[in-house]
Order: sequence, then structure tokens, then C-alpha cells
Amino acid sequence: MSELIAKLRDIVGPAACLSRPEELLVYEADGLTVHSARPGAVVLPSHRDQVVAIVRACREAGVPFVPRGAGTGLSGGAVALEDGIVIECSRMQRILEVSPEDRLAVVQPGVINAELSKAVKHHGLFYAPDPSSQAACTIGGNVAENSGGPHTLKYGTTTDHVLALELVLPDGECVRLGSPTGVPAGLDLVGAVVGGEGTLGIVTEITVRLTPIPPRVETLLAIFPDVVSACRAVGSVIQSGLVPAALEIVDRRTIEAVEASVYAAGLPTDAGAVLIVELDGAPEAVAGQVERVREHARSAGASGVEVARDEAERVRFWRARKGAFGAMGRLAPDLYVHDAVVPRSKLPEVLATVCEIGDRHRLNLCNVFHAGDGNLHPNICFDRRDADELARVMTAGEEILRACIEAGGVISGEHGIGTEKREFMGLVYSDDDLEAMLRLRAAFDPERVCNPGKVFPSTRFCAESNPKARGYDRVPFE
Amino acid sequence: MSEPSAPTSALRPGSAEQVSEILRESSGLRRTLWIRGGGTRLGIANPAPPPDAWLDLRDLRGVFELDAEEGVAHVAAGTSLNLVAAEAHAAGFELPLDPPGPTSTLGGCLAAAAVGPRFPRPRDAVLGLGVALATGEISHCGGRVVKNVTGYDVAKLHVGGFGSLGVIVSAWLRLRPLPERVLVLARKDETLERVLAVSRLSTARAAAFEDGALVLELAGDAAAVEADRERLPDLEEWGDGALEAVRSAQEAPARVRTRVASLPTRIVDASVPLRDAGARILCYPGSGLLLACFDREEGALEATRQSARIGGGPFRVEQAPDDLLENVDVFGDLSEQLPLHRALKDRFDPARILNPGRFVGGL
Ligand SMILES: Cc1cc2nc3c(=O)[nH]c(=O)nc-3n(C[C@H](O)[C@H](O)[C@H](O)COP(=O)(O)OP(=O)(O)OC[C@H]3O[C@@H](n4cnc5c(N)ncnc54)[C@H](O)[C@@H]3O)c2cc1C
Repeated sequence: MSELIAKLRDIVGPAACLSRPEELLVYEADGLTVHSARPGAVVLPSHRDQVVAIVRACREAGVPFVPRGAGTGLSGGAVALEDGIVIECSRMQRILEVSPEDRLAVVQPGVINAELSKAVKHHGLFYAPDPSSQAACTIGGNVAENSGGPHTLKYGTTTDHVLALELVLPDGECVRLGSPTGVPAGLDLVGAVVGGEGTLGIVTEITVRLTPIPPRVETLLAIFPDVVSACRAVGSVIQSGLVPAALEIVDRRTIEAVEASVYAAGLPTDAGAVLIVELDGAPEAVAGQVERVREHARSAGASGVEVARDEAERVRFWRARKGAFGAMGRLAPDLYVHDAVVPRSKLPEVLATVCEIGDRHRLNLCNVFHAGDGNLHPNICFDRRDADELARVMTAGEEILRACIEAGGVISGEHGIGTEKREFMGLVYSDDDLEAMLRLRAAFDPERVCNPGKVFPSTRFCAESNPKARGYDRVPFE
Repeated sequence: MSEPSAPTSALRPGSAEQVSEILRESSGLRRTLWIRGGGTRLGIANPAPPPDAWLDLRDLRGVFELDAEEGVAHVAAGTSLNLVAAEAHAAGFELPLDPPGPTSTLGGCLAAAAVGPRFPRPRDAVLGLGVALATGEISHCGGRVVKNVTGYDVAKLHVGGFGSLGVIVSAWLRLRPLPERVLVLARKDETLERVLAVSRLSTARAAAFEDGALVLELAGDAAAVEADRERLPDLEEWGDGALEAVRSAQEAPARVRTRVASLPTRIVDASVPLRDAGARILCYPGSGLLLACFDREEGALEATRQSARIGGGPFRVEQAPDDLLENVDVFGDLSEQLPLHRALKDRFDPARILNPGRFVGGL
């Protein structure tokens, strides 16, 4: 290892290569604090050629490596197992090109998500994928996780906005995939790499699509007696053919936590759930849509519907949603943010089950979620130093995932599998399904040196796969 | 390349299990297969020796489920696209795929990533796929939910993979609510510059430009469509027929047919070499595609290459006599990406039985 570290120092300079235990501490985990491992060293390349040289040096030494962005990931993806080398891309943070006419930008992987939107705002454009962590997370990390956000409902996830990539393959070769036109030549390799969780290579340049800032945005906040009626409103809005930019639900437990914190948004604490609806687009269209949404909310049982009158009020409404993490974080040292997706119509029953699971394990659990696409985020605050509580958190987490699968859902909508859920992959996929993924992996990284120990279960494979749950039960052909 | 005349034999499985058996057996025997659905995109391939047998998927039929509450459908790959579209329509949805022809099947449309005037990216319609691997396993990727990062997004390899890595047997599709209002407008004597601007209106769903004539479809919220319509006082209202005419222009017979993808700002310049070489050009400005039909072979490929260089995107030869293709990959110049294509082929189809020789780089 010391020989490799010396080589890495030569490549990036001593200041950009960390190997002392105290320097490595922050790299032991990402946003998922319950899984941790200390890397052998951390290198911070500032351009592609350094990445190539690092990868080659690691391969020669037979040491695995892990790309890392800002470390906000929530599935353990950026953690190096087995003393691996962390390649942190945060110094590669230049916006290389903005082409407002072609509505695209070329960025390095360390560019912070929100910074890109800021940089192109004066062109009337923005970068649409907006994870709640956008003030910190990098576009490289977003590409690896295919990140989404509250506005995914209308604008899609990261994969819908990546046109081309430059990728340093695990053997040190550098390739360009896709094209700035968004039309691939041959296979859609960009589509395959997005969501690859840093196991298919290191992304060193990203060409993204930029989206025109909508001329009009309206934000509504509807108050419901319970989460079931809020979900009903979501269903009826979507079935009516409306496509809001966001449809987010905050449950009673979250409202209580938010209102008791500095993020207080002035919500009635006796409300059962709050639904935030954002509508955007042509001014002519949005005005009418606001009224239609109001009607849907009322018929579903809303006791009140407010429309934000100005930016300040809009921010206040969103605080109910965005302040949730902070407010929960106040209650205990650790926060476990779960992530699963179920068919939208199953939301009420799955939420009831999730809350029951939390109660049964005596946990402080609350829900904020992307209701429009059935993406649940049960949040559990806890103290990981309390071994008994930690064990209950982990058991509850597994029960939640099983309940989501049982309802026809999947175990991640935006945070990825990483180390967190790898052992549960067999609950969703059969051996043959995983075999296809392994072939993809093997084509890019036959020796599994790039971010090993992620995505795939450690044992080959789980017998419990439940294809029926995914809707793939055997169906007779006509 | 033209469709081969005398296929040796045709296998017509009636279930995914039968597809799987055929593939397992074929891999063992190294029996080569050409895979077909409706046959509308078979011509997009590198010249290759004929197969031992055809694998015809048109008996894999059926809309297994159409969940109107979620707006998703599970459909067998050999099902006629028009049939899926009709069932979706009856339930209040549209199928966001452009049928390449009246006989098109879902699987063929996805495997060829076939595009038309409305929907530039077939992959957007796909939530999950059932795929029979060359070695016989039936694998599933994605699922029925609309947001999913559970494992790799393997479906992306099969949409546009021309059956080179596996045989699509079924798909979960995301349907779209029917737009509240649809309006087809047209005008002669347009310039490509203006057409580009018009194609960026917020409700512009399809824009096609051929021979100075623009066909524009607005769709969506009624008030927004009306507002956009008022911005275009000089366009005339037409029926659906105008879009049908565009579709037939896309399929019009030609000696050589090529496709170039261009950046929006370069599309005007990129069309010049094609025009100079005598091509009729159908342009979808919204998706940056130039579809060129040549009646003569001379200069067609050179012009296409030149156009792609200017446009900044890839080109593809969709139809040409074999002798013209001796030194050309019909999927374009993608040398840098070739090793990854080869590595994928090695892993997914080690016996080289699926459409061998026809795909990128003669894989
Ligand atoms: C408070 C909070 C809110 C969040 N909200 C959301 C949300 O709304 N939506 C959402 O989707 N996620 C959310 N996340 C999760 C997380 O922010 C995203 O997954 C984000 O994309 C991670 O980016 P990062 O730069 O921090 O990546 P990291 O955590 O550093 O890495 C994540 C993965 O990307 C890989 N990677 C990083 N850089 C590269 C590269 N250059 N090339 C190849 N692979 C690379 C890593 O190996 C790892 O597997 C949230 C997290 C927190 C803490």
C-alpha cells in the first residue's frame, strides 16, 4: 500500500493525497452512517489525465478504487471496502461549456448540482434534476445514482438529462459515450452507465441538457385530515391528465417535528397530512390548472387549500417539505432516510404498514414522500451508539422493504443499492435477472476493481426472489 | 441492407418460455438467428451472411395488463403497436411511441429504437423489460413502477440494441394521459430557421419540415395550445392526415436512406451537404434529426458523413445496396466505443447467434 500511496502522491501532488487516519475519518462513510469502512487512501485528482494515471496505478498494485463526489449518497456507494482507494472528484469542478442555444452544458463531475442551475440562470435555463441535497451533491454522484428530486414527476430523473459522458474505464482507457445531440451511435451506453453506482468506471465529463425556466410557477399547499385522503387527491390529479411539476406529501409526524423546529412553516399541527403541489408552464395554462387542483383537493377531503401569493410564501410552503430532514435531525444524532417505490394506488396501505412497523419497533419514524411517483421516504431518527435501537432500526428497515415489494414495488427509487441494500436484491430480482446485470458489469469491469462490494448480493443469489411482486408473474400468452 | 429473400426456416415461438428454449438450443448448436417482429426496420443492418433460421416473434401477442389507475401497461413483444395504442386510447391514454409502420410490433419498435415525428426517444416509454438472453435465461429489468434505481438500468442496452444482446419478450410501458387538446397546423414556404423556433413552443409535440413545408402538432393543456396557436396566425389548421403524410414521407422508397443527428443550432448547416448531394430531406427539428432520401448512390454516404460532422451527432445508414456498404458501418463511425460493444456482445451472446454480423462493427 505504501508504494501505491507514493505513486499516487507523484500523480496528484502530496496535498491532494490523504492517508493519515485522521484525514481518512470523514471518508469512512457517506450519508448512510450505519455502514462504514476506512479507505487505504484518498486522492483528489484535478483533471482526467490524473484519473487515468490513478486508475492505472491502482490496477498495477491490485488495489480496488471507488469514485466519490460529495459523499451525500445514502446507500454506502462511495465507501471503499477492503482498504481501497477513494478517488474524490470534487476538485474537478469546472463548468466547461454552456451552449444556451443548444440548451446544453458540459461539466466536470465535481460540479455541485445547484451551482449549475445558478450559472445558467441568466440564460433563462436550469438543470432540472433537483435532489434535496442539491446544494452539496455533485453531478458526478447524481449520474452514478440516477438521482431524482421533487420535480422528477414532470422533468424526469438524471438519466433523462444526460446526453454524453466521458468515462475512464476500470482498465484506464478513456472513452466518450453518447453524443451532445442525445442520439447515441450504436448502443445507448450512456443510458447504461447512468445509475451504475460508480461500478462501471469514473465519469470525468458530463454533457447535460438544460431546460427553459418555466415562465410561471404556482405552489399550492393543501391540508388533509389524514394521509389517505391526501393520497386520494394525488391519484385524482394525475388521473385527470394534469402533470404537476411536484406532488409531495408530508405526514402528521413530520409536521409535528417541523413545527417544533426552527423550520416551522406555520402548519396546523392537528393536520393529518399536507400536500404540496407545484404547477408550472405557460401562464395561460397554469391559472386554470391551479383551480382544477384546488377542486381535486377539496373533493378528496382537504380542509384548506392555499396558493402561495409570493416567493416568500412559496418558500414557506416548501419549508414544510425541505425542512423535514433538518427537523428530524434535531431529534437524534442519526437519521436513516429510507427509499422505496410502490404503485401510487398502494401508497395509503403501504404507509399504514410502514407506520405500524415503526411503532412496533418503538422508533421515531415519519414520512415525507414524492407521492406523484409513489416514491416513499420513511425517515427514522435514532442513535447508532444505542446497539438495541440500531438493531431495531435495521429490522424495521428490512420489514419496510419487504412491505414495499409485497405491494408490487421496488427497493430504491433514487438512492441506489450500494452496500445498504445489496443483500435485498434477491427479493426483487431472480438469479437470471441479476445474471444480466452481472454481464453488463463484466463488460465494463471484468476484474471487479471499480467499486467492488456494491449493488450485487454477496452470496450467489438469494432463493427468495418474488417475481410476482414486480408484476412479472407468469402470464399466458394469447 | 435489403431484407434477405429466402430465409432457411422460421421459428415462431408462442411464449417467452418457448423463446428461451429456442435460444438455449441455438446457443448450444451455434444456430444463428435473425430476429424479426413486424419487419419494418429489418433493413437497418450491416450486410451479413443469411442466418440458419428466423426467429419470428409475432406470435408473442397480448396486452397482459393495462392499469388505468397507474397509467402503465404490460405487453408481449410481438403485439402490434397499433393494437397497443388503440387499447391505451380506449382507456384514456396515449402510447408514447411512433409506429414505424402498420405492421410494427412493440418489440421491433423498441429494439430498433424507431422514431417518428412525435416521440424522439422510445426508451422514455419503457419502465421494464422481459428479455430472453442468448443463453436461454429469461431476465427482467426495471419493473412496473415509474421511478426505479434498483440495480443497473439494463433495459437501456436492449432499447436500440437491435436484438444483438437479447430478445425482448415483453415490456412494461409508461402511458401518457391523452392530451386535452391536439391541433395540427401546416404551412408551405417556411424556412428551417423559423421551423426551429416554432418547434420549441411549449406545446409543440411534433414538428416536421420537408421541402419548405412545415407540419406542426400542438398538444397538451387546451389553454396553452390555444395560446401557442395564437402565436402562429399564418399557419393553417389541418387534420391528422398531415402527420400521416409525414410518416409516409419517412418511409418513402429511396435508393439510399440515411439519418443524421444534429445539434439544433447546426441543423441548417448540416442539411447543406445532403441537399447538395441531391437528397430529399425530412427534418424533425425538435429531435435534431435529418432523414435523407437519395435516388442516386453517388455521394450519398460522403454527404451523410459530412452532414454528421457539421451537426455534431452520429449518422446511420438506414438503407443502401450492399455493394455501397463495403467500407462503411451502417451504424456510423464509433471506433472509440467499439471495444465496449464487443465486450457486451461477448458477455451477452458468446456463441454469436443473435443477428450475427448485422450490428455495430459487424457484431
Ligand atoms: C439530506 C439529503 C437529501 C437527499 N435528497 C436526495 C433526493 O432528493 N434525491 C436523490 O436522488 N438523492 C438524494 N440524496 C442522496 C444523494 O445526495 C444523491 O445520491 C447524490 O447524487 C450523491 O451525490 P454525491 O456527489 O454526494 O455522491 P457520493 O455520495 O460521493 O457518491 C455516490 C455514488 O456515486 C459514485 N460516484 C461519485 N462520483 C462519481 C464519478 N465521477 N464517476 C462515477 N461514479 C461516481 C460513487 O462511487 C457512489 O457510488 C440525499 C442525500 C442527503 C444527505
